[in-house]
This record gives sequence, C-alpha cells and structure tokens, in this order.
Amino acid sequence: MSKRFNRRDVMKIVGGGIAGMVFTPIPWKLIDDLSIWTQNWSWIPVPLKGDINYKYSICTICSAGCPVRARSVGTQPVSLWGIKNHPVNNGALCPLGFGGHHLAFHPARLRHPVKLVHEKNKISTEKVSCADIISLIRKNIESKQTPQTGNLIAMLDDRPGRTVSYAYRAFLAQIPNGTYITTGTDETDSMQGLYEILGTENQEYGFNIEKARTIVSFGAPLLEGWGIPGRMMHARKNGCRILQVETRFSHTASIADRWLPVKPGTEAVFALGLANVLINENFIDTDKLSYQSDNFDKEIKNYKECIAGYTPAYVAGRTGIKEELIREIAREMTTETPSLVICGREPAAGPFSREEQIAIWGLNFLLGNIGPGNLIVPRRSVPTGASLSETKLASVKKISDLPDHSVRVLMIDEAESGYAIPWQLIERKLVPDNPLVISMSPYLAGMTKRAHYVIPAPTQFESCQDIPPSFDSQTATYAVSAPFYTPPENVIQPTEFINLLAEDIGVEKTNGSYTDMIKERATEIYDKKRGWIYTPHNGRLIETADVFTGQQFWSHLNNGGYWIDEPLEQADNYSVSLFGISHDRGSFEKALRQIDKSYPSENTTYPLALVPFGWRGVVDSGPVTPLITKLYQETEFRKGTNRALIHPETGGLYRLRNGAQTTIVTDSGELHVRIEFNDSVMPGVVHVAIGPDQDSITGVKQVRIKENILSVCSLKDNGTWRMTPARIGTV
Amino acid sequence: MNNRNKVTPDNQKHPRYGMVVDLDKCTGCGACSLACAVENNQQPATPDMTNRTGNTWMRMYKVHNGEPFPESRAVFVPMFCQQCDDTPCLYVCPQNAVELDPMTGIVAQIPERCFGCRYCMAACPYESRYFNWWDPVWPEGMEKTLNPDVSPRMRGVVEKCNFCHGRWQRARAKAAAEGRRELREDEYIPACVECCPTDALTFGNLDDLNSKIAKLVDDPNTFQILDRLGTKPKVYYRTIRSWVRNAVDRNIYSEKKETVHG
Repeated sequence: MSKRFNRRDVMKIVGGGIAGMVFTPIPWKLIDDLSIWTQNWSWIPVPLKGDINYKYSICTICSAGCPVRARSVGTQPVSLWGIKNHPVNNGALCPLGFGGHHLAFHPARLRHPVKLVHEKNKISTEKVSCADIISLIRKNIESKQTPQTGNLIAMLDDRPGRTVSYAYRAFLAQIPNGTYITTGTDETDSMQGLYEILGTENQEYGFNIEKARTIVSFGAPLLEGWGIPGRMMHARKNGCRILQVETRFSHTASIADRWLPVKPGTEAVFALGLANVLINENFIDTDKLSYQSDNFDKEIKNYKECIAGYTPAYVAGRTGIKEELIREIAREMTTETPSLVICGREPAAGPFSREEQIAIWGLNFLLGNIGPGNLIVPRRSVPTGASLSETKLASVKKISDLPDHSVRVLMIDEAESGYAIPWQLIERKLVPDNPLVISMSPYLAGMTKRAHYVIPAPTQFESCQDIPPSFDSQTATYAVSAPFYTPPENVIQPTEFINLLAEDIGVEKTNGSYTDMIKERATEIYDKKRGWIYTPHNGRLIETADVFTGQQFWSHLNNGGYWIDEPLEQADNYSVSLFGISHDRGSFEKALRQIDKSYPSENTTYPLALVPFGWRGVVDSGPVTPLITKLYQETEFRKGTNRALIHPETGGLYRLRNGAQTTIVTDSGELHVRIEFNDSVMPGVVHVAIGPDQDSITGVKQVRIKENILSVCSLKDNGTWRMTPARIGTV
Repeated sequence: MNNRNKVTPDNQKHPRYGMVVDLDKCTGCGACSLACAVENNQQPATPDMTNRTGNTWMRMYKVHNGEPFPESRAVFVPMFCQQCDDTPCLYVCPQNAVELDPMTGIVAQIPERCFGCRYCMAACPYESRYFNWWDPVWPEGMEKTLNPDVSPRMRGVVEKCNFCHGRWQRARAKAAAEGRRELREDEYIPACVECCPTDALTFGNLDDLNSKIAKLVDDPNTFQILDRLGTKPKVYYRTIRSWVRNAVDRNIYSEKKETVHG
C-alpha cells in the first residue's frame, strides 16, 4: 500500500522543525559562532606581554612638572599614575598627564627633518637633511641678517628656565643680532604686575596656596589646571574657598563658592572697587603694611586718592556686580583669612594688561599677603650650572616688545606653554620678504604647522629633560625627567642641533652633551647642601646634606627624585609700590581711564564682546593624547574648536536658532562657527572655544591649517587679545 | 530574576563592591575619564565618531541648576555603569553576555558572548553602555601602550564599566600568592578612584559596615540616581545641596530622551 505525501505531512515537518528549533542548540550555536567569527580579526591589537615593573619620572607636557609612576612592560610604559602624597603635587595628575606615554606614538609625530610645503592651506612634507637646514640658516645669517638691516635671528622659547633655554641664550649671545624671546602668554606673564608692585626683577616669588582659606581669583582657571594642578585640588579638598571673578561661566566659576560675573574688561575696575572698600572701611592693617613700603604714608595717601572714584556704587554700574555684594566680598576677604588674590588668565585669551595686573595684585599688599611666612613668598632661583653661569647669555625679551618685521630667522622650541597664541602675533614680527621659520618639535601640530622646516625633537620620556620650578611653587624645586626609551633614529635633541649650527657658523658649542649640562646643574644644587630630595620609590624626604655624593644625588634625580629647597626666610630688599615701578600716579590713572572705557562697547558695528576660551594644554597648540577625544568629541563635555556660546537672548536678537552655523565678524576678519545657546552666558557676550587640533589627534592624512577664533581677535599693542568687539554675521 | 547569579560557588560571604561619588568635591577635571580609558584599553575616537557613537565608560556631565545668568550654578557628574543589583541589562540579554558576579556584586559584560543586539543599551536607564561601532584602532605603535591585563574589545559588541575587573583579578592573584582569600580595603580600587585628585570617589565593600563607603552610604545626603526605578544601583552620589540632587535626576533623564547612544 502506497503512502502519499500529503499536506498534513508538510505541516508536521514544518511544525516539528519549529518545535525542534527551540530545543536544538545548533542554530543558536551557528549565530554565536558567526558573531564571534565576524568580530575577531587579526588586526585587533594584542597588548604587550612581559614582566611588569614600575619606573619613576616627571611629566614634561607642561611647566608644572608633575611626578609620575610608570607601570611598564619591559621598557614600555603602559600607564602613568601620580605618586600618592608627593610633596610637590599631592599625587594628582591632570587628564593630559595620564596619556603622556602615548605621545611617542602620536599620529602627528615627525621622525625625520622635513620641509613643509604650504599649498592653499594644505601642508605636505618633503624629507630634508639636518645639514640642509643648517646651511640655510647660515646663509640667512651671512647674507641678510646684518647689523645694518637690523634683522634678527631669534629663538622662541615658551618655557624659559630649563637648561636648554640657557643653552639657546648662550648660543644667541655669540651671534650678531641673536635674540632670545618668549611669547609671554603663559601664567608667568600674569605675574608681571606683581613684580612691578614689588619693584624687583631678580627675586622670584611663589604662593603658599595651602595656607590660604579664601582665594579671590581674577580669571585664573584654578580648578582646571593652574600652576601645579594638584596643589589647588588639595587646597580645595581642605576647604579653601574660591571666589571667581570671571565673565565666563567656566568650570572653575561653575563650582566656585561664589561666581562674580563681571562685564568683560572690567576686572581691574572690580579690583579697585574692592581696594576702595578695604581702605575706606579700614580693613587694612596699616602698622603691618608700613614696613613693606619705603614711603608708606605717601604711597597709601596717593593710592587712596587715585581710587577714590571707584566707589562700590560706581563699580557696580561698571561691572554689573551689586554694590552690596562688592562690600560683602571685601569684608569676606578680611574675615575669611588668610585670603589670597590671584591674577590669572583664560588659556585661550591673552593675559591682563600690565596696569590691570597691578590693580589686581595690589589687593595682596592691602591684605598683608606679601613676604616670608605670608601667602606670596620669596624663593631662591635654581642655579644654572657652573659653566653656564660663567657664559654670556642673551637677555630675555617678550615677542610683543620686538619691532614689527624685524625677525629674519625664527627658531621655535618644541616645548609649549599650553596657552594659546595667535599666529599673527608672531607673524607680524617676521620680515616680509622670505623669512625663515624653523620649528624644533616632535610633532606636526600647533605652531609647527606654520614653519618652513621642522627638526624632529625627542618627545616625553625619550630624552633627559630638566624641570625648573613651576611659577606658583613656594620654594625652588628641581627634577629630571629621565628617559624610558630611545628616540627614533633621525630625531635630534635641540641642543645637539644648536651645537651643529654653532660648529657650522664657527661659534662656541655647549659644554658637553645636554645630559652633561643638566648633570652640572644638579651638581651645583647638590653642592649647596640645602633642602631635601623626595625619593618616590620609598616615599622619603632625604636631606640633601645626607646624600653622600653628587653622583648619588644625580642617581636619585634620575629615578624620579624631586629636589625641594628650604623656604626663604628673608627676601631681597623690596619696597612695594601700588602703582608699579614703571608708573607714577599720573600715568597709572591715565591707564585706568583707558581700561575703564573699554566696556561696554558703544560700537554699533560690533556690539558684542568676543572672548575666546579653552583648556590649558588643549588650545590647538600642541600634541595631546588621542584619548582626549573622551572629553571632547565623544562626550562634548568640553567644547571643541569654533563652538560659539551665546545667551538665547543674544541669539534672538540675531534671529538665530540653537545649533545654527554662522560667522563671527570682527575688524580682523570673519570665522565660521556653530552657535550653542547657553543660559549661563552673559547677554551681549560671545564665547568661542578653541579645542584640540582635531586633525592631528585623530590622524587625518591631509594636514591643514584650520583657522580658529584667534585669527579674528584684535591684538592690542601690549600683546593681549582678551576681548574683541564683534558681531554675528550671516552664513 | 536569573537565579544563577545569586549562587556563590563556595557559599561564603563575599564583598559587594560599590562606589560613592561626592558631587561637592568633584571639580570636573576629567582625570577619571582618561585614566579609565587608559586602564581599560578604550580606543580613541575615529574622525567620524560623535557624542552619540563615542565610547566612554566614565562619562562626565555638567548639570546646571536651570537658572539663567547670573544665577547659574553647575555640578559635574561622573556617570558610569551603576552596577545595579536588580539589573535591567542582564534580564534582556539573549546571550548571557551580562553577568552579576556573585563574588563581587559587579555587573560584568562578556564581549565574547555578546553579539551586538544592543537590547542591554535600550534597557539601561543610565545610558552607561556603549557599542563598538568600529574595530578598535590605535595610532600606529600606540598599541604597545595597552594595558596587558585587559583585552581590547572587538567591533560589534557592547562594553561598559566593570569597576576595573582586571585590577580585581590582579589583586586576587596577589592575595592568593600570599595565602589570603580576602582582599584588604585598599588593595583593590578602580583606576578612577586611584586618580581622583580631590578624593571625590570612594570605593569599597558596601556590606562591610566598618568601611568608609558603608558610612558614606548611610549619610542622609547620599542618594542613588533614578532610584524610583528600583534598579538598586551600587553607585551612590552625595551632595549637601538639594538642587543638585534634583537636577542630577532630571538631567540624566532628559539626556536619556535626547541622546540614545547607538
């Protein structure tokens, strides 16, 4: 009997199959295997394997010089950590420091001397030899840079005080018109007003932040990386109050104990208002202060008359801060003591002018903060090393002090201050006909993109580097960033390049290798037998006098040791002048009137105040770990380049919507930006961000110069660009 | 509830790790975010990656008080896997790629099992899970800097904070080598806790009543984000400011509506 295959059988097979599917692992296993197979490829990186060891060194990304402990596989660091309870920074590292071991493999890394070819904003590189570049510099020196033309051969160094800085100065002192310059745009420039008040150039001062109970900060990004970041974090942890005087709702302002959003450009007026209350309500201790000025009675009388017009009522009108609040802040400064006043700067905007700084730093004198044992304390300088101390050195000049169109050859040192600098500030100092710009940098990023030639320098942990004290350090310190590995073959230490150049043009070279020079400096420190050396592997502070030999001292330094000087009990003679040494009352008052007029703008063409902003070390200037995208691109926690923050009210006036693409127009040009509404922005102000150099951190093949907001900021004669009149244009 | 996760292999009392984030101490420096990325081999962004497709186990939010200028105030909120005891992501995973480790209370993600359906991402109310849209790529040579204790994840899987599980294993191996079964309080801490410069993060065993974290959890100023959902997070937040507490909940919820990662 035959059995026919009927529809019922088909249904049974399908039904059975479906039921079977539920219970059989085969399809699930196939899906699983397929997913694993499609997810695992040979190019998924495999971490290094090997014995784990720990090494100690110092971070050189910025001038803070934070000590680090490197967890390494063989010689390769795989992570960097702070050293708990370290006396210099309390063990804190900033986000950039955690990625310091990535820098050797940065996508913008250069491994050979190159010529940069600029074509329509695109940059391509051609390999050249070091000798080619040296010969070009020599030709420029011989043919064009003569005393008659006054053309300069200049070295731009944004981190003076290192041994390499002295080597540059020694070299430049030997050649005609050799000039050593700094941009003067970092935090040290914000200290100039303090040195003016103190009337001393040779005595260094630092801050006893740990002792302060209140800090009144004028624009200093205290909680975002100011000075040695760990010190401020530690002070905050211990309850130090922060009163932030700043137009922008910065990270520091947003978590400060008080945010005092003054109108842009009126910070100095606010400071004078506080001074007015302090003096007129007798909050100052005249007996204590009289010892700090040669002619105290006359000085304070003059100052009182000078600031008599800055009554709380007047200052309230200028700054937008309520009259009663001004009085309250002044009272708090004398009750929540000791209170320190800090004049800082926004990392993307320029420093305060000298006169503004004098007005702000002057509050410290009125509060009795200056002198040994107080909050602003004198400290010793770090010796330069025996041979350099006997060598003639070129003097230090600020780039803004050079005449325009005077620099024929500009060499740029690789170490960046972490603060933004508009290229036009440098460019206008170059001669108009074929200047030569050479950068000694490990990376094709930041200012190096503007150079004509690049000498590839070693990056962090590839060579021995020395760390002079940070500007805020209360005592002298010295440390050595010991290398973990050797640099690539064609990478050249800047001192080595300078020696090759010196040999070629027939002037004296440095005394020994760069490491020898650093060692010589360390030996001189050791010979003074002063202070302590902190050894991180056992967490001990050893008295320098107890270290047996100079070689042992050097060995400690090379293993992450940090030398810390004793506090200075007595400062060099100083006499405080509240008008600064370069001013008398008349010129100071004139400068104040100028400052007072700067805001609000009555300019109907440019009614908005443009204030750039950024984060120290990440202002398009130089290399940062590619992982910085975690805080920018991947989360937008920090604002990327050309994001413009405005109050919705300001946006409404221009009929803009949130997220609109538009332009910011100033006297200097216009720039495309993306608008972001933010309730916390002062109406009438536009803040434009500068973020990391996105091309270089994400490894784009075609390198370009991307304009940022600095290109449209107005540069004042004193080299600052804090605020620019602007308007919003059209798309 | 999947009972398999309640079973401990040795029937012993094990720690239940948790964290307290002191919002009044956090300065929003972002060190935790970077240290986490370094420790856990998270790749840098590709040029086309955005805040919707990025991969940040430790994500920083700036939460405003909602007041306009000049009354604005803000607080920084580090947001990461809340290590829920009642774990929504675990329930929805069809691949058993999410496990609540009975030895530690840590919610683990097993990339080898994950096939990238992203149900767990939809289920997570804290937006703390991230999908690997691309193969992990580091700039040439930078793969040498990867942490040898953590494997890079492949494309097509979900990943998240696991309280630096590699560190736990390292600490356990060290303790075992010294003949101990239990870890000391300071022996195992995640990278974010180690790096925090203001001590805003406290980590430890929630069940150890003598621990610092247990005392902080008992503080009336300590709270859990979105606690009304009943997920029982083991990550707590602390603030003495009432507006912060309200704003954090509100903001995280609105972030959820506005940005769905992946």
